[in-house]
Amino acid sequence: MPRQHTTNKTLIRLKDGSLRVLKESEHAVERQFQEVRLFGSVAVALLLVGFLLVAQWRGNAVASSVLEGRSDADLAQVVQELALGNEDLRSEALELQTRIARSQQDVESQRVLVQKARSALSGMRLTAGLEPAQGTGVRIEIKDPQHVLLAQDIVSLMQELRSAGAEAISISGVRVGALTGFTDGVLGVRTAGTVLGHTLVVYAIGDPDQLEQALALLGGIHSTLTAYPGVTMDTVRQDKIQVPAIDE
Amino acid sequence: MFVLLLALIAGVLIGLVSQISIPAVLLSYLGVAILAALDSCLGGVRAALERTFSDRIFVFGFLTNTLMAAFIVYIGERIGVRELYLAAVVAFGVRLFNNLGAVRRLLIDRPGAE
Amino acid sequence: MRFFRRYPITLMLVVAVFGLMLAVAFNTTARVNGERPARTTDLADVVTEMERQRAQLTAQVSKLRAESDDIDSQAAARLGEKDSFDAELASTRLAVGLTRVQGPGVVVTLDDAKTMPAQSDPDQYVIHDFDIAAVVNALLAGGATAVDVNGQRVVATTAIRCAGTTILVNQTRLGAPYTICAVGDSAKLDMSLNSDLASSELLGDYRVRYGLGVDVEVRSSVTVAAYKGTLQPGVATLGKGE
Repeated sequence: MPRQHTTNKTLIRLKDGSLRVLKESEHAVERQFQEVRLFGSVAVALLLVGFLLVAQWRGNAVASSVLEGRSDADLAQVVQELALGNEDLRSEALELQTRIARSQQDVESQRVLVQKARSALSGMRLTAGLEPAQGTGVRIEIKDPQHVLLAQDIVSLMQELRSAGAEAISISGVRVGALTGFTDGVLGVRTAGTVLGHTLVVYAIGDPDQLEQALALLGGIHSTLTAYPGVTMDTVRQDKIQVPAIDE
Repeated sequence: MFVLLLALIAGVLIGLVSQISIPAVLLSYLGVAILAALDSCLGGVRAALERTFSDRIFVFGFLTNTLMAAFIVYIGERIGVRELYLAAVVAFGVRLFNNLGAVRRLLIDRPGAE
Repeated sequence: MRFFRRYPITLMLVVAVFGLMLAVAFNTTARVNGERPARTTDLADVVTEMERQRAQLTAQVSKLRAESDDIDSQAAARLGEKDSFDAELASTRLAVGLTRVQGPGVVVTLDDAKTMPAQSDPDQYVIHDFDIAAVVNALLAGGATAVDVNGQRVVATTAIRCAGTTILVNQTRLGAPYTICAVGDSAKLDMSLNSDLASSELLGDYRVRYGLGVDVEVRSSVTVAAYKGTLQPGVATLGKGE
C-alpha cells in the first residue's frame, strides 16, 4: 500500500463504510461548515454568559434605586401626617356632600341652609384667627429671665404646635394667624406692635394629648428651648381655653 | 462542541429550577470560584482536543483550582488586604485566555477530524 | 456518537457542575436583592398611595365647595339676602386664604448647595424646614398679605416641618428648589428679609459659606396660590369676644 501523506488531508466516512479523501474543494466547504458550527457554539455560550451578566446587573440596579436614603422612621412620619390630612379632607367632603344632598331634596328650608353656610364660613374664620375661639388644649408658660430667646425660637414653637394639630394659638395675649410674623427687637421678641415679654404664656387649642406629646418629644422643642440658659417651659392641660381674635 | 454546551445549559437549568442559593456572605467566594472553574473546564476541553485528557488530573485540578481561588479571597479578607482576590482573578484570567486561545486554534485547525 | 467519544464524560459532568455554579450565583444574587428593600418598599408604596388619595380628596373638596357655595348663594337669593351672603362668602374666602392673590411682591428661591467639600457635614449644605420658616416669617413681619411655598398657601394652620430628606408644608411633600412667593410692599419685604436675624443670616453668611442657592427677586406682579386644604375647626368653638 502506498504511503499516504495525511497531514493536511481530511478523511470522511461514506454511507457505505469506505473511506475517501476529501477533494480540495470539498475540503473548503467542509471547513466552512465546521467554522460555522464553531462560531455558532461560541455565540450560544456568549449569549448565556451575557444573560447571566445582565441579570446580575439589573439585580444590582433595582436594589440601589429603592434605597434612596429614605429611612422607615421618616416615611412613617410622612404617613402619619398624610393620614391626618386625609381624614380632615374626608370629613369636610362628607359634610359638603350631605349639605348638597339635603338641599337638593329640599328637606331643609332655605333659612336653615343659609344659616349652616354662614356657620361654616364662621368656622373657617375661626381657624384663620378672625374670630375668638375656645376649647380644650394646653397652656405653656415659658420663662426667659436672661432674655436669650429669639424670634426664630418662637417661630419653631409655632411650627411644632401647628404640626401637632393646634387650631388656635395665642402668645402673650396675641392671636397667631396666617400673617403673624415675629421679629427681634431691643426689648425682646415682638410681633407687629406688641412686645411679647420675657415670660411668655402660650395658649393652644387642640387635642391635649397630641399637643403635649409633640412638645415633650425627645429632641423636640421643649428640649431645644430649655437648653438655653435660664429658660424654663411648663406645659399644662386645660379644659377651657379662651383665645382672642386677631385685632387689626 | 455542542455537547459541551448542552452539558453547560443542563447544569444551569438544574440550578435555576431547583433555586439553590448560598448564604449571601459567600457570594464573593463563589464569584472567584466560578472564574477558576471556568479556567479548569477550558483546560479540560483543551486537553480533550489534544488527546491528553486525564480524568484524574482534570477533576483534581478543577477542585484544587476552585478551592484555592476561594481560599485566596478568604485569606485576603482575614489579613485585611481585601484586594487579594485580584491576584486570583489575574492568575486565572490569564490562564483562561491562554486555554481559550489554544482551544480556538485546536477547533479551527482540525474540525471534525477522526 | 463521535462527539461523545471526543469529550470524556468527566469533562461534561464537570462542565455541568460549572453551569450549576453559575445558576447558584444567579439565584443567590436574585434572592439577596429581593430580600433587602422589602419594608422600605412597602412604606414607600403606602406613601405614594396616600398622596394619590390626598390629591383626589383635595380636588373633590374643591368641587364640592364650589357646588355648595352656589347652592347657598341661591338660597340666600331666595331669602333676599343674596348680596350680604355673597359678600360674606367672598370676604371670608379672601381673608382665610382660599383665593388666589396677585400683586406686587417678592419671590425668594432657596436651593441646596450644588457642591459640597468632602468630609463635611451634609446637613449644612441643604435647605431645612427652619430656613423656609425663617424666610416666611421675615416676609410676614414685613407685611406680606399672602405667602406660598412651592404652591402651598401659608394659612393659620400651616406647619413647615421636615421629614427626612423632604420638607412638608400643609402635609404635602416638597423638594428643592423652594420658591416662596409673597405679595406685599416690595421695599418693606426686601428690607425685612435683610433685617430679620435668621433670614439675613441665611441670605448672607450661610449662602456664601455653604454655597446655598438663595435668590431674592422683586417683581411687580406675583401670584400666590389659593389654599386647597380644609379649614374647619375640630375642638375649637366660637369664643367670647374681648
